[in-house]
Amino acid sequence: MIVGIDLGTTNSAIGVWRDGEAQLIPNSLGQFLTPSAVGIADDGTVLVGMAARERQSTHPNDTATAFKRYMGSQKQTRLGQREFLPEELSALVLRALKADAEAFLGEPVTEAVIAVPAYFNDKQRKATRRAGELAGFKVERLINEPTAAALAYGIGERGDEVRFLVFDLGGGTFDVSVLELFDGVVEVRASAGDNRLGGEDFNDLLVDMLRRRFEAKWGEAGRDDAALHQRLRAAAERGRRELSEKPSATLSVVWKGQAYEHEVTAEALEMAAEGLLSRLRDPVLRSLRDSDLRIGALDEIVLVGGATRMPMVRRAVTRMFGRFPAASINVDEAIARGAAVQAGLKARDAALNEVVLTDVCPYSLGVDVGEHGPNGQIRTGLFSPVIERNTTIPASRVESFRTLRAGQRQIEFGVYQGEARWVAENVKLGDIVIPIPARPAGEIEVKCRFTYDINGLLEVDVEVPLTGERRQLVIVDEDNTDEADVATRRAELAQLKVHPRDEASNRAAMARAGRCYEDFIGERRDYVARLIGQFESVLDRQDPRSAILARSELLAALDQLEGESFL
Amino acid sequence: MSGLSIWEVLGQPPTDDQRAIKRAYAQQLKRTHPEDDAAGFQLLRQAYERATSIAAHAAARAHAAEPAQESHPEPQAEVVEACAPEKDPHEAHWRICGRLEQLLAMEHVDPAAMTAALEAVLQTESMENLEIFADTEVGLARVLLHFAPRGDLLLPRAIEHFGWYDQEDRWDLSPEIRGVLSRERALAVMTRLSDRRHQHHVGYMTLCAGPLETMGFWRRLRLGRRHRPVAAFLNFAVGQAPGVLHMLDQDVVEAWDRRIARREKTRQARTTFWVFGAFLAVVLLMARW
Repeated sequence: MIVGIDLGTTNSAIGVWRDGEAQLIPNSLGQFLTPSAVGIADDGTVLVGMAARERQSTHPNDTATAFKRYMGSQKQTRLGQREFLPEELSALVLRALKADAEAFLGEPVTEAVIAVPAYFNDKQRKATRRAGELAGFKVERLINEPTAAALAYGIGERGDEVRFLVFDLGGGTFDVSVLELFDGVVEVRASAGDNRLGGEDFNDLLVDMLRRRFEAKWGEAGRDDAALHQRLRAAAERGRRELSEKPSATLSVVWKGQAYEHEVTAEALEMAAEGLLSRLRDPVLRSLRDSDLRIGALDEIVLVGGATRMPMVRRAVTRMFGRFPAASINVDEAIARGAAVQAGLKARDAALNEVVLTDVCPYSLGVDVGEHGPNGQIRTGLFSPVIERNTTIPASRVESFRTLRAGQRQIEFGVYQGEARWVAENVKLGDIVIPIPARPAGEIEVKCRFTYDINGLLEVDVEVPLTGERRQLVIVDEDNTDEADVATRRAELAQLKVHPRDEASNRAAMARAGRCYEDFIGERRDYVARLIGQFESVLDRQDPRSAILARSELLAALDQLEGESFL
Repeated sequence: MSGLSIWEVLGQPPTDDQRAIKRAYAQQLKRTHPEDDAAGFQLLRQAYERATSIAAHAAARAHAAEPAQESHPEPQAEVVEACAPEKDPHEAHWRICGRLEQLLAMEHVDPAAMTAALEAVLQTESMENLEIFADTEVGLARVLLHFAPRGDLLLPRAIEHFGWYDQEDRWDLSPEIRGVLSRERALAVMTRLSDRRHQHHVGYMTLCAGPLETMGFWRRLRLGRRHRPVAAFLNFAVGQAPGVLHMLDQDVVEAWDRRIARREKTRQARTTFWVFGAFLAVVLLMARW
């Protein structure tokens, strides 16, 4: 059985293709969404999901979130005794999802399709793949998130030729894809994005508002206080959700025993968000331009991602396209559903046998070249794409280059990925050198062939037709590709004590109660303290059935106190 | 490459029907699955893309062959042409664009009126629409370049509004926008050059003064001796501000280039003459002694 996973910045979800449809798998709390949060409990055990998320404001130094933003980097996060890489934190989330799936399906799950933002570069993709391996999965395929979203919106249910645009604004990333469906073919025409734009940026606006408002009272101490920052973020998230439904909301935080309240109107947030909203335009334009389609040719605009719930985002989309977007599937679940569809495709499930999916390479791949400047000097370091972005993959392209200097004895190609005009601003993937006979400038031709396969593996072949000399470069990730290394790290992660799955619900409830205790003051704080005391005494009795009852009572009491818990 | 024609690869007789091409491609795709047969897929994909572009060209030709409904008024009306002829909800926007263009085409226009016309274009409701925005963006860049230098005072505002500097480092930026940016850069350098304190001020102003031949006697005598500052300026411009060179009168630049080269030559000749003369004098003196 292959599962499909949406490993999101804020939330993750897992699904499976069963009985001819994509089904999401609930976690131990009965929810489809598991927060992408990892924490260390006071006793040194690892907490994943809701339990970790709830402890974020009370234990900011023992909790990690939004690590997907650093995927592929070497940024270390210290939790308890150990430092974690982003991919290791992701592996812990994936492992929790795996346990949920195994409990739900009643069989071991070892293969997975994981969705990644279309805009992830090679390094980030490989880190994601490693995260899967660290969690004990064989990663069958990485699928682009917008592609997954499109798959979720139904294959074969539409007319015989459908084109649509997927507008995915998640917690941390923004992706746009243009797709076409015809005769059982799902073709991604183009994708573009901004991997530094998402719902959290809107939250940051609210955090800034609060900080500005109470600057005088908080002073220096407030600026560096991690606990306050987490509490502000939580308040901002809550406030943003409220503003999606009401014209105004009250943001409240408690810090050092004092409550601070600030009322924000939806209008004020929209004004502040003008810059963020205008950043939505560029990726949309680029994807349309690359796919060579006019807006009029699109049959549908599909919204995905939690941040597209915001009315101001929906209005911006409507204005950009001059029509209303579709959002018939739950925007938070679409990607996991799509990944499950892909998993089914991968397993060549009978119901999906007829569908072939073609994807694109989301970034340009090329080499560095020089050219003669206006005054006859040679300018080097210009980027010359060989495979342009949004080329359907697998793809193979050849470009010819000529020598710039007389008597050159060798040509060195730097292989780069990116969209910048100067290679210095693109991502370097490798180098390839080929010897050539000395001749006058421009006389030697070198053919450079790029072959990019469906799993993101790039092969560069250079050839000098005159001499028949050939060189080949296969781009593999330089760091941590070592199979043995992955195995030892997997063993290390496996040794971390993780809370038993059946206890996760109690943990999450306790963590939430703990957070509420910090969030309130006065009478309500005392009330929460009483609730915690009661719940603890029931847990001490070690009777699972009364624990379930006590937990639901506790959660109901907390719901009444602060409104329903959100993901 | 195999010897098959694109139509053989597609398994479809030659056609201009996009739908038929798609159907044929989809059918072949099931046989050459991109996951199982990468080489086969690439061949098929190439055939498909070729066939699609042939069909698209055929469609465009057929469209062009139809009698034109409107006669094209002037070659400059590019922005206006970009819109659909009838029942366009954005007609008002294109009218406002047209007004800006008319202003740019006139000889003497109040700068305030021009700025207001640009502002009107940027603020229309239609600019919220992506396509209108994109078409206007490129169209505006083209028009501003076309009517340069009349539109120069509008460049900073346009650049700021569309965030062109932020896009500058992309390799696929449209040539019009790149042109606008390099023009604006050159203008900024020129502003600095017209400051007396700039080290190349004199050389630059000499080139701006126009051809020497048309000047009065005294002026010509004064400016005509500025070889050194002009040469220094040209050196600076070639290396650091090539855009500025393009904006000067090319004939004047070339004439000065020639003057400088000529002078260099005479100077060399003079040096040779004196050295040789001195040598000869010494030899003669020694011979007499």
